[in-house]
Amino acid sequence: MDIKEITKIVELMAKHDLTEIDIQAENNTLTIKRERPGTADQAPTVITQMAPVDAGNIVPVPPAEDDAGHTIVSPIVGTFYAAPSPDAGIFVNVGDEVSADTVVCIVEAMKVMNEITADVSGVVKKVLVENGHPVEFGEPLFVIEA
Amino acid sequence: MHPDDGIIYLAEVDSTNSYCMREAASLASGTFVVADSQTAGRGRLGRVWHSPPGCNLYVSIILKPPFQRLDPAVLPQIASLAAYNTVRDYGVQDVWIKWPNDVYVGDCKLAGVLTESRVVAGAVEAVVTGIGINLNMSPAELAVIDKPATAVGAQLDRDIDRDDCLQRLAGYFNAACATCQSHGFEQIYAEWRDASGLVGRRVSITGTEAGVTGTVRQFAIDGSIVIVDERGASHTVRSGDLTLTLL
Repeated sequence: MDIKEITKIVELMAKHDLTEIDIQAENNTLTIKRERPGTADQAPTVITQMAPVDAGNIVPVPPAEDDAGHTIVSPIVGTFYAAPSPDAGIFVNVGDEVSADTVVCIVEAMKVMNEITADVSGVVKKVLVENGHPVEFGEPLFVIEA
Repeated sequence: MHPDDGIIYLAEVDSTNSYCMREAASLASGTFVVADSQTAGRGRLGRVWHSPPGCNLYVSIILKPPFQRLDPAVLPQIASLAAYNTVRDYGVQDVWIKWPNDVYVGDCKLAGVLTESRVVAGAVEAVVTGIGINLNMSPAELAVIDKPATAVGAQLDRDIDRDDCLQRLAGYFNAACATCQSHGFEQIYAEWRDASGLVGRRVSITGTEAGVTGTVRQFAIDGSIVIVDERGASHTVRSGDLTLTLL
């Protein structure tokens, strides 16, 4: 995990007002703690260490739940694909109804095509990433309105 | 993973990977699904994998948690190494793994791998590794493929038994998975790196990340590749939709 990725996570934490985050990704464990504005030192604390990989338990950043609905985040660093192939229709559009097992996109990492499911039922409210763009671990991809 | 869980033989299917993804809930971890022909054989991003009946190996393996120390992200390397070892057993010469997961003889593609997973609530629920090895395609059939391609039989001037090839491939694949489950990826990674034969070669990589031309210095264990350009600057490239060309 490089400084760019960590910076991005810190920005996402600020955006969603998260105070603590634990990430296990690839060979790293990353813990970031931050105080809410006005409470104390606002600089985030970053702790990284090598840790054994347990890929069966990829731990995503806690989804940022807000009043608007459920945010689907990328479980890995990779490339976002909105469709199964360049010629095919995209998995979901804004306004589409989805169920928990609906595949909403593919995130490709190291030649593994990972189908991401919605995990909740609802209507697609926002698509936050463009087809073919790189995505970070924990980056919001979709907002689903229940 | 579980060699006794068996092999499912299909006469015809759209794609063995699609079958495994559809039937994931009912298939036991470690099941091999083999088809005589695929009507919609595919590679990454829907690219066509030419799958005429009765002459090649089309197989997919489904694995499910718990993976223990086997990281599903290394299955493309495990699969390409298994295909590499299998075709070398038959005596094919000049085989190499084109980073990260295609098997080549010289400039011609001999085997390909497509790994797909389904991620539910942040965890891998099932991962399907498809392996296609060209065995007995005629020159006319090989010419249909849009890129230079070859077949094991064409290399050796004899027919190869599909099921014998499957047994050899399954042996290598299952052994490598077992090694990774108990010891992690290091040993298999070292074998895969040696099979790639790319360290020290001049290559050009183009794709979604900025293109880079230079000499391959090393592979990292996460599958990324380190290339040193003409100015001596080092570039670490991860495989997305990338094309590697030998110079």
